[in-house]
Amino acid sequence: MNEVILEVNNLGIDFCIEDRVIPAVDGVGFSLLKGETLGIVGESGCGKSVTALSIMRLLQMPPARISKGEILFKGENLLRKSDEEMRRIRGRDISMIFQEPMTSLNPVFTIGQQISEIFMQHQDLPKKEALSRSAEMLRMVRIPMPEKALKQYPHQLSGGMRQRVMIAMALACQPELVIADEPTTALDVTVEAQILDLIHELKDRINTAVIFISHDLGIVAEVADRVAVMYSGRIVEYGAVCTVFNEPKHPYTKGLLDAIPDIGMSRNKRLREIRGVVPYPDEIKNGCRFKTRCDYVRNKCISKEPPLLQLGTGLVRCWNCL
Amino acid sequence: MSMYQSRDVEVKVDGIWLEREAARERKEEKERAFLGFFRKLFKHKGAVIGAVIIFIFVFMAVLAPWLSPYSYDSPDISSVLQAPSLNHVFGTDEFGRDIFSRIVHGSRISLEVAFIAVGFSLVIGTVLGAIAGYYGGVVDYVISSITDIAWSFPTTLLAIAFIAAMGSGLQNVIIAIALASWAGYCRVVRGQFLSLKQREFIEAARILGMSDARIIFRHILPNALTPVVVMATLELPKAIVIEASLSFLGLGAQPPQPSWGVILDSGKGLLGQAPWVSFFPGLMIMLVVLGFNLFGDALRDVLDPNS
Repeated sequence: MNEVILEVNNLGIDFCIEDRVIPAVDGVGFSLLKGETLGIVGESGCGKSVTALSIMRLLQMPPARISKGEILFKGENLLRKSDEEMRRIRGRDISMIFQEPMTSLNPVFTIGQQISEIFMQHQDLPKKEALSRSAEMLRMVRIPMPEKALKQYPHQLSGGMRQRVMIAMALACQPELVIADEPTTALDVTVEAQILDLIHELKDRINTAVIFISHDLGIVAEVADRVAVMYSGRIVEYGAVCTVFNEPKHPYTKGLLDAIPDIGMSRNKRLREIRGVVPYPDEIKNGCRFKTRCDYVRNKCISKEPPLLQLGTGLVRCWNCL
Repeated sequence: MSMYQSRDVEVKVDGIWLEREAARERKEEKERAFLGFFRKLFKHKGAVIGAVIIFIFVFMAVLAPWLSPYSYDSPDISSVLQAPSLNHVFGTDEFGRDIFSRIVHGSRISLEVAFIAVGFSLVIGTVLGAIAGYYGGVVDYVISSITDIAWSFPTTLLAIAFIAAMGSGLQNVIIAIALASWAGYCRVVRGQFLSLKQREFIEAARILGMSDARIIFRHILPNALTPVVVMATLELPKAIVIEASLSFLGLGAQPPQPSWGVILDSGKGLLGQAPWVSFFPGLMIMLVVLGFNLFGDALRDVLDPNS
C-alpha cells in the first residue's frame, strides 16, 4: 500500500528565450504514494503546470530544457525514456485532466469514437468491445444514458458533462497516476462540487495517485492529502494538508490563506493582500525568492536563499523558521 | 455525496422520457445541419448554376459513347468543314469529323485529367503541409522553402518545363499539373495545422498517448479539410485550362485524341473559313471553368462562416 509511485528529485526546468535562460522550475522535489493525492498550489506562473507537463514529458523543447533532476515513476526515470516508450506510458499509466473541458474534445468526432480510441490504442481491443468499455466508463462518471452519449458530439454536451467525459478518458486505462491541472477552474461552483466528488470517489475505487494542481486553496484543502506550495519555481512549503493550512509556516502560505475572503467580513474592509507582484523567475539572483514581498524579511534573507528546512513533519523554505 | 445522489435518481426516473427527447433532438439537429448546408447552397444562385453546369459536363463525360452521334476519330471525306446544321450541330472539321462528338469525348479527357491531377496535388500538398505544420522547426523550414520555390513559378510555365523534360502525353500532363499546383494546398494545410496543433483537444490526444501519425491524420486533418475542399474545387478549372493549353501547344493530348485543346488548335488556321471548329471547344472550356468557379465560390461562402 505504501508503494512510492512517483518521485521527483531536484527537478529544474529552464526556458531559453533568445539569450535569456529563465528558470521556471528550480529544485522541485516531492514523492507520491499509491492512492495518495498531492495538491500543488501557487499563483499563475509559479511553475505548477510546467512541473506537471514535464512529468508527462510534454513540454515544448526547445524552448524548455530540463536542466537537472530526475522523475522516477515506479522507480524508472521518465526523463531517460524514448519518445515511443513515453507515448505508451501516457494515457495508460499516467494520465491528465485538463482545465478546459470546453475545448479539450475533438469537435469532429463523437464521444464514443474518442473514448474507444484509447482502448484501441493502448489495449488493442476490437472496436465493439472498446465501445462497450467506453459506455462503462461513461456510466462510471455518471453520465446519464451512456449509450446515447456515445453517439453525441462534444458540442451537444454541457461543460460539466464534457469534463466528465475528459475524466472518463483519463481514467479509461486505470492509470496509476492522474495529473489534474485545475480541472474545475472553468466550471461553475455546483458542477465543480460534483466533479470534485467524482474525482474523490473514482480515486478511491481504482486507487490512483493524483496530483491536483490548483490555485484554489479551498479545493486543495478538500481533496489533497499532502500539499506543496510553490512560489516562483520553488516549493516553499510542503507537508500534510491539515498542518500546512492550520499552521502555515511560510510567510507566503500565510499570506495566501489571509487573502481568502471571509463571508462574515465587513464589506467596507479591504481584502488582505500580499503586497507587490510576482518577480520574474530570473529577476532574483541571490537570497530568498520571496524577499521582495515578505513582511518578515531579514538581512539573511536578502543575501542567502534558505534551503527547505525540516519543521515537524513538513518542509519550509524560510530562515524565520529556523 | 448524498446531495447529488438524489439528482441521479431523478435522472433515472426521467430516463426514458429524457432518452426519447434526446434522441429526437439529436435527429433533428443532424437533419438541421445537413439540410442547412444544402438549403444554403440551394439558395445561392451561383451554386445552383455552377452545379447544373458541372452536372451537364459530368453527364456528358460519363455517357460520351452514347451521346455522340458520330465516331470522334473516323474521317468522313463527304462532309468536310460543314457549318453547324441539324446533322452536325457544332459543324465538322477539316477531316469531316463531327465536332460535337469530338467535344463530348473531349470532356472525358478534360475532366479525367483535371480530377486525377487535382487529386494528386491535393494529396502531395496536404501531406507535406501537415508534416510541416505539425513538426515545425527544420522540417517546416525545408518543406516551406520548397513550397515557396514551387509557388513562385507560374503553374503553366512549370508544367511546360516538366513536359519539355519528360515528353508530351496526357500522363505527363497529369504529373506536370500535380507537381505545379501542390504548393497552394501545402500552404493552406500548414497554416491550419499551425493553429490547430495548439488547440487543447490535440494536447489532450497527446496526453492520452496517441501516436504522431494518428494525431496528424485522425485528429487534426479532418478539422483542416474545409478550406482544402474549397480550394480543390477552384483548382479543378485551372487544371482544365492548363490541360487544354498544353494540348493546344501540342504538349498534351496528341491528335487524333479529341482533347478540347487539340480541337481548338486544329481550328486556329481555319478561323476565317470555319470559325466553329475553334469556337465550340473554346466555349466549352469557358463554360466548364465558369461552372466550377461559381460552385467553388459558393462552396466557400457556405462553408466559411466568416464570409
